[in-house]
Amino acid sequence: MQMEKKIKFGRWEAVTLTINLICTKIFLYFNRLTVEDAGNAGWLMAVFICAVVAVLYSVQIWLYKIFEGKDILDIAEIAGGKVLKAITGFALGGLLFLLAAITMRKFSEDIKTVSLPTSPLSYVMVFFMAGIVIAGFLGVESIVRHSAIVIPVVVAGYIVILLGIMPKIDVTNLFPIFGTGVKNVLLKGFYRTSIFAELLVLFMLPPFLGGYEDVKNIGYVSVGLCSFFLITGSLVYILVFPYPSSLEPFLPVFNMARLIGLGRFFQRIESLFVFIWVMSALMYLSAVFFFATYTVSKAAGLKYIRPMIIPFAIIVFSIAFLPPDLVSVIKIESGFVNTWGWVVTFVFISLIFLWARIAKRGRRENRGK
Amino acid sequence: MCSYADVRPKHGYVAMTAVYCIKMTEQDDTNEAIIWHNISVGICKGRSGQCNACRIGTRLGVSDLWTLNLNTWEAYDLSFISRQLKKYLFFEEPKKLEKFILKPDGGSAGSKGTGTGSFEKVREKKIAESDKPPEPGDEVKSDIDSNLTHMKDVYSIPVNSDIILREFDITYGCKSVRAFIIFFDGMTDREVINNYILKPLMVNSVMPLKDTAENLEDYVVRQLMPHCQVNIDTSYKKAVDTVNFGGCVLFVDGLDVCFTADVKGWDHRGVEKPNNEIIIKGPQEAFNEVLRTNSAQIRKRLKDEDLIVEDVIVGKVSRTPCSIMYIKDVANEALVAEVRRRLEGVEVDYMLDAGALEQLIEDSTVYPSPQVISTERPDYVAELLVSGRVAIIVDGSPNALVVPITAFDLMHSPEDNYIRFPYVNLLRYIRYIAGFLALLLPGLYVAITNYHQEMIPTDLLLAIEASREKVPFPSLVEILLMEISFELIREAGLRVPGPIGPTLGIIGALILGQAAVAANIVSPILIIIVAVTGIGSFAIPNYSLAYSVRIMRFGFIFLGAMAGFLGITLGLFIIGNWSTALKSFGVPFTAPLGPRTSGRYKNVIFKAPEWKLEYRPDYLNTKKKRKQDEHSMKWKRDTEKRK
Repeated sequence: MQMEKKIKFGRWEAVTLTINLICTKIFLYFNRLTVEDAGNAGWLMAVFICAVVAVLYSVQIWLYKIFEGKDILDIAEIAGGKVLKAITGFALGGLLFLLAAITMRKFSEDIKTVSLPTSPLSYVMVFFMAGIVIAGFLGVESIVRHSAIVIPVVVAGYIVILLGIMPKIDVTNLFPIFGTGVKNVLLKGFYRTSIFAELLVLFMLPPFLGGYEDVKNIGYVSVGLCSFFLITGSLVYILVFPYPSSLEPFLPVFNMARLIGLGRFFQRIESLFVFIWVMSALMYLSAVFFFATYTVSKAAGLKYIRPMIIPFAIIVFSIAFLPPDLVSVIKIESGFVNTWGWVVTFVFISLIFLWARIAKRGRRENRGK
Repeated sequence: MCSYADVRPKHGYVAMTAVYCIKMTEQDDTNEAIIWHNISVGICKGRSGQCNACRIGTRLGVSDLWTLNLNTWEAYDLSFISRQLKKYLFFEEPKKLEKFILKPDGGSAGSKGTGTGSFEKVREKKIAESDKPPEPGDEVKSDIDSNLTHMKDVYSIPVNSDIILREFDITYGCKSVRAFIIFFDGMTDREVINNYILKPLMVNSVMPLKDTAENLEDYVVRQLMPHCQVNIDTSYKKAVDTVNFGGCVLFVDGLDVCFTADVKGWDHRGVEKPNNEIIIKGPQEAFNEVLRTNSAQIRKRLKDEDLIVEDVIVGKVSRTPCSIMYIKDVANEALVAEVRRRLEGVEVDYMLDAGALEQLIEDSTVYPSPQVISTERPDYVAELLVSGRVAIIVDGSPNALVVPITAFDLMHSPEDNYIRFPYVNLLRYIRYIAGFLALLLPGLYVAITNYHQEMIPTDLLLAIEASREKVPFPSLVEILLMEISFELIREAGLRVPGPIGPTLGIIGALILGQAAVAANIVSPILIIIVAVTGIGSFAIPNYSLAYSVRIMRFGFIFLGAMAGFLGITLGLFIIGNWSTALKSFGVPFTAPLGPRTSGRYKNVIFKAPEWKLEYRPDYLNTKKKRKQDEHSMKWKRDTEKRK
């Protein structure tokens, strides 16, 4: 009888998972963030971010080439033994936990404002908590497969919003074309490559995927598709909202959806948007939370991750409550996570790859002697 | 007498110094004891204190050996304490369950079922079983009185009133030989027994027949029993099984064998029209309760020598015959082996229906939706067998089970194969919309009226508000009242006998709804919501799926009341994740969309034209991937060539 001992999933599942991890920010803040940094040139900044990420990923995947089938923790172990493996695991896990907590808080604050103004924040957050705990228990296989089914629907919903808003587009909003200046576009744009911080999950997937070619292709396809969604999202947002009002720090895509009117009868369809928005949030949170738990458990050498799910969920829940208000959350999100996330995702991981390559070569040479 | 060996304590058990267990079998003559302490296990085959193992026991302070049944030794196992501690203080270590995953078969297409070789193994096993000698004490005796006494004991004669035991004489050469047959009245065909069993044995044996038989056994089976299905068996067990399943058994004095004949003749329903899966175009025959009629209904449609009907007995007491049906050179052998393994692994006393069996072989018993297709249509089973699935037929059940399935198969109707593809696609859209309405509409109503009023267009909002003005209940109570009333009417309609049922349903719904609106208990718009929901649930083609939708609907009502669209989305997220984690006989329940496999849009949500359906579903990993030729409309090519 044929039995499967290891979980495997395909390229499409991995691509949808990565797209959701990165593009969920379109619903939350990405468009507003680019306008905040580069004014009318926000979309140019999005183009720059995506181009830089493509280059950085190319470097990373080149460095990764000789470690086929290994995830970032295995590679860290090759580089610096169990100590580095633990440090890497806790660093990456910590970043993912922080992302999960901040995003959960942000989504909960937004949903409270949009739909549940009289409900306490903790009540709203319990729904997200329930989602991530159940998804965690059901495992990575169900999370990625669910992504493969749901993300195309979410993307379709997003495209409907973009198409629905077309009549409101004003091309003059693009000018001045370089917004607050080229310097801002390039310099701040580089920091904002942190938008792709979740790309680090890609280097946790290799044990679940086929091989190097799979990881490489998934990465390129994901970066390509994410770039498309981020750039179009940013561009349409800038085209619809004139510069000062596009700085409104609240749910850019929701604000766009509010403008959609289809005849006299359908005037307020933005509530339907809550479905794709919440689904996307649940998919994001469950994936980030699962990989955070997985990473920390693996770094600590734990055999099972299920017993860690509820304790870690409580930790995430508690961290999410630390910022006193929505403004503080936005500050942490744009001033810390989305400014320095690139250090972990692109610098730290690349350094580990480099170190592991050197260590591997050193060992090979020693063996040769 | 004694043997002593140093053996490590069994893995996972706590070994403690000066703590030991002594176990003995119940058989006094062997006195086999196991002394188990921290370092060694001794096997004693002598008397207490005379062997090394027992001396160790004595040295450690054992004054006596006590007799224990070896089966109960777990109770004295010290690791039990550590396991319990672990369970309560930490967590229960998950059992290493190996999940069955359906992978590509080892056999190549058209290899006539070589595959992984499991089919050949089963064949050898069946041959070995038929050649297996009877167990000691179970052999048929040559003395007819012993056989007679045994059968009377087995069937509690004369207390049991429907068992017939008929004694008579057979003339063999110039002597008379005693014989008897035994069968159940009502389960057998009296005509057949009288004309083709008893008459030849009692009358023809007197006639001068051409003497070609070598012995009495040969004579009986070759010349005196002109019946198509006669077997020679040597065990009482097989004889009893035959009688229980409507056969008759002949015992002859001086022969240590019995003759079993299949003379089933119980009353049963004929082949009638399907009651539940009604279609307009296509065959109008349904299964009945007879196993062989059902298997024949499939065979007459497929007419393929590779269609295998493999019998498995389920139920320790009822010994219900079940048939596993599959096409040998199409179905994945690992799948067939898994179905066989699950059926053989069902340990119940009685198996009365396919519905009960379904619950015992499905992957998840908690998940609301069925993971097995249960159908009363032989044509649908035939179509699913052709696609590479495996069918299970249970004797006494008018439904066949088909595995594996995916969530999308549950939205397909047998009629999809008989009507043109544009109609099928329209009907499938309607079914999905119906399923969506049946599942979510009441929940969405509660969510919108409580949390998302802004999305209701102003005119509609005014209409809803005007209709709800005099209703004293919140919308949650209102909808629960109506949903429960609707479920009551539906359940009562089923239980009320005959033609009154539908009448009660219509009258009940009309009067109740009208009266509830008039009494200002519910608003008119809610009647529309509940009615549309009900109609939607009836449009779902799979009966079991409709049940699960009914259950989940209440969950969505509560989630909608708790947190509006957030709650409903959470519900969808949980159901979605649960579904993707699920498998039906090794096939992911949400295939071919998650995981994505090839040919996913050809006959899943949409249906491509018939000529386009060239391949079998990829996720079934069949031996033959192709179902039909690339150019199935060959006549079209020929026409083009002629031009």
